Amino acid sequence: MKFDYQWIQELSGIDTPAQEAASLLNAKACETEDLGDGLFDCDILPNRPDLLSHVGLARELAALSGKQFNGPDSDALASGQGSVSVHIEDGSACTRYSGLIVRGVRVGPSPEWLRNRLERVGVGSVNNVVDVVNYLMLEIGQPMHAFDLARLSGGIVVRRAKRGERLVALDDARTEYELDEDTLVIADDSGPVAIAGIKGGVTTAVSEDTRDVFLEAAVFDSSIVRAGSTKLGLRTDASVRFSYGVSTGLPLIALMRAAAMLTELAGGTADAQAVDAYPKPWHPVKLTVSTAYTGSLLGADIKVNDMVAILSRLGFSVHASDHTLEVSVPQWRLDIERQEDLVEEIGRVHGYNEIEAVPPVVHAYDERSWVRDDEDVPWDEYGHIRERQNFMRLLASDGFSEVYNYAFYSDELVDKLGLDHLHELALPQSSHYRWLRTSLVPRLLLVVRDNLRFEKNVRLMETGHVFDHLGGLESTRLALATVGPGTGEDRFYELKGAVDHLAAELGITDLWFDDAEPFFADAAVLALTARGRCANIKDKNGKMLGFIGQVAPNAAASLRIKHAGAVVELDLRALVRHAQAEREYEPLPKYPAVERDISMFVSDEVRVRQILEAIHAADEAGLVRDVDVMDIFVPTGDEKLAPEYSRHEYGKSIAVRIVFRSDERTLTDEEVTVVEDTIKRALQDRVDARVR
Amino acid sequence: MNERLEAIRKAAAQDWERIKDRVELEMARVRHMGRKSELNELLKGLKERAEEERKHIGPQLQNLRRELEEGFDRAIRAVSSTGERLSNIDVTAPGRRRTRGHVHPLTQASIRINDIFASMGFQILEGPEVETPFHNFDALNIPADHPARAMMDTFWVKGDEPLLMRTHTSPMQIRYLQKHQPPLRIIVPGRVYRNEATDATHEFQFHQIEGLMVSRQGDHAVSLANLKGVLLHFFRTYFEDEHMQVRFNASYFPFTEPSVEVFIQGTKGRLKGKWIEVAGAGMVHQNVFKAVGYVAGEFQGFAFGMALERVVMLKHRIDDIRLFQGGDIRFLKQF
Repeated sequence: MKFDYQWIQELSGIDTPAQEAASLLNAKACETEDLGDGLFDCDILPNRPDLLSHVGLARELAALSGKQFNGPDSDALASGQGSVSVHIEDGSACTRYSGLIVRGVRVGPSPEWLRNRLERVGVGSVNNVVDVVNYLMLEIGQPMHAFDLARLSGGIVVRRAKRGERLVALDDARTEYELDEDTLVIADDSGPVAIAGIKGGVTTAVSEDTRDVFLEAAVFDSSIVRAGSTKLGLRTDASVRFSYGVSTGLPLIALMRAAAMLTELAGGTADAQAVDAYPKPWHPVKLTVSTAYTGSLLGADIKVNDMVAILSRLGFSVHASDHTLEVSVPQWRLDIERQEDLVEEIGRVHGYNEIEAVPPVVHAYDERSWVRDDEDVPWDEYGHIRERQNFMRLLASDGFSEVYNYAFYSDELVDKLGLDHLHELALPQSSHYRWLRTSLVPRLLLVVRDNLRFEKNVRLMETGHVFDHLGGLESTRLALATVGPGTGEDRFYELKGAVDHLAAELGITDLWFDDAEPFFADAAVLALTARGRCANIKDKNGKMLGFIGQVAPNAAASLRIKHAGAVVELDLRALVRHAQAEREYEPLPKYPAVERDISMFVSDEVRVRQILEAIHAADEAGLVRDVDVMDIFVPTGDEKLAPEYSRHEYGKSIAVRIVFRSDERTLTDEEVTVVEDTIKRALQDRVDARVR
Repeated sequence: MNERLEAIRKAAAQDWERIKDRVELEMARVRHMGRKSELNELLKGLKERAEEERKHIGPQLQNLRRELEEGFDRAIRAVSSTGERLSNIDVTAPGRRRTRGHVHPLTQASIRINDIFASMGFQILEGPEVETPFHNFDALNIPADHPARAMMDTFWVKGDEPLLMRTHTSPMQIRYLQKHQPPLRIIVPGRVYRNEATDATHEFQFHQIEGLMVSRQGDHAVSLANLKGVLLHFFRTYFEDEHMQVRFNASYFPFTEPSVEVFIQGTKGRLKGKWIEVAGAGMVHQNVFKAVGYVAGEFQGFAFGMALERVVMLKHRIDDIRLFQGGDIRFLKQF
């Protein structure tokens, strides 16, 4: 909001240079920009309605500069019976309504000084009556409205609008507003004549023919003005001030000043008394401040005398006793309700820059005493966060780059993947970000696609919350995606390798890829992956860790991804639990191991898992310590014609390396050969292998 | 003179012959040819001799020096070539590169920030991103008709239950306070959402770092001066600028009283010489303690909140907040 620093200087008698005054306000009252030419742009904080006027800022600057403030005439007009009756229907919506009749005004142009003063802060001059009203709003902060008395019929009622009532506003466009119960209006016998605290109506406006004026100076509740202003989409200088809050101390002072100014500038004669509806007269707020607590909260040693001086300059009346200050709050300080509010006054005026940085005195650790320990908590702690960050570092070394994505699906994505039962934002930014994600995979794939313009092989990862169930602990996921030239199978095994690497790092020894349905994956992930090329990822106890799959060619095409790809989504909390599990020491081997390689042909349907099971089943003595799959060769069409394949109708060739070891003795060649032969027989029997 | 030169020659030649170790050889070189060697002394003394003498001795000395150098070169080469020799490779050719991925700059910053606060004994926690209006607003002294609610541009989630995308990380103040007794100190990093137009400095989805430290009232109670101390230590460590300054300006937040805006000023780089706003902070409002069921007037503490993106942008001179979301790999590769 624009302020005229020259005006502030006149009111306060301060001779501080503008720049210095601006920086004083910045540090201690409100963000202030020195626009030059003696003009300030101040961003008044929501709790300081008292600063929304030149008098307010003058009072503040004087206090901040250590000066006593002597404001302009602040006498209040006497109130009594006026010739206009006023009735407030809702005392909480309008806490005071004062009015004054000024008769015999000659509406005309304002003198130059008044026009200049208004124009400097961006208010256009209208005529002497309206200009006086605006001038006083700027000077003391009381928004007023001038009605043409002759056009008012009957008394004034402050009430809620009735649904369907209309009012043509006094703006350039003469906009007609349709009103309802959410809006407070000023009405006469004919209906609404003004939207309370926001805008006057055309029918009762002051014009060149106006002789007698009814001036309104009222205080409307900030919430109702704010709500009305939002609803009607109408923001005015008055509505802004009422939205902050206006002091009930102002109306009669404003009317007193208005009477004097209108007499001088428009030749009117004001009634001696104002009409004044004031259902609950103001009583000052009294507070007790502990000086020790003030020092403790600020962490600064401020002398009691200084505390008293600061509060007094700001207009508080203060009585200091041994350890406390008894403080009476001035009427214009609507924000001061409790002790801490006064601590803030003392702190900011004393100067936060005067407060030295002090390291806190703490216990080496907090006892973390739980008030209630019977419930799960909906948050993750440092151990989880650190492990997750370790995963990211590990995967980065495997070639994956981490991205952050928006947490919402677009309409298009939801449509393409045929998703339903998603949570929806009531008022999204756009249709691109409407639905709360339940998986990281869809948007991750879109980012992969966008990056294919820059890189041939794109490997990305993301961690984040997903929103499958709301209002508690949210699932956290880790997703990986790889896309690029080559076959989808290559991409699948690449990702599987990354998962194995991660698992090995976490000490998960028996990770298991299970492709027996049902698949426990999010609907979006299932829609994006190809059956026959996907698996549940489980630990040895069968607990679900995640899901891996090759991107289905149709899904890739619909997302305009031109290459083959694969995706993984893992449950972060399950992974972290594994990462944090204690590892048990296993004695180092005392006797040497023996390795044997076995190559075999098996039919297409035989899976590595079955081969491994056959090997372990045949090892009754428990000598097999490890089995590595060395090579899997699946011949193409031509190769199948080679004698080896055509003769046996075998689909593929698999080579494994078996490590034998005993904890009791050095194994002999003969011993190992016996077990090896058993294994070979088992392979023949169980998976119909032809061992080479 | 000739004898002196001969002695130098002989001693050097013996060493070149005898020594088989690089380091010892280098020491011998210094002894025979270094700045303090006899040879060098003689060379330096030349200009004080008569011209006649100079013409005579000068070339001798130069010859001797050349001779010693050649001898040393031969000796060092002989020593160096011990060990197996293979055919030359081009050591200037690029090393074999592995595909390297990148941890997102926000994650990297978050790790560092967590570490700094953890070193001060703060617990690090992350909370839910979908929140109730109670945790996000009411308990934080922001009642239904408070202007701050409208200012926060909330994304509400459709449904029977009123739920919203949290507009700040402060709801975790409530959740943690509800279940613990002070003294306590926590840091809550996390994602927040504001329904506002996106531009180079605004995102509708960004990250905050929330801090909360609470103690009993009385001796050594947590104060605004402590807030300044903790933030000063944090910013000095994070920006690696031990002379960085922190300043508080008066401000307003419903859940703190007094409230301040936090500015930093560096002594080097882009942060040098100007005050930059980085956080909002203050002393926890007693209504917040009331909302979590604490007895009024027993506890006090500070809270602060800052945007992670802002801090990272200052640190790495990033000028567009939108780069953090959406993952352009050309951006990510730089970290």
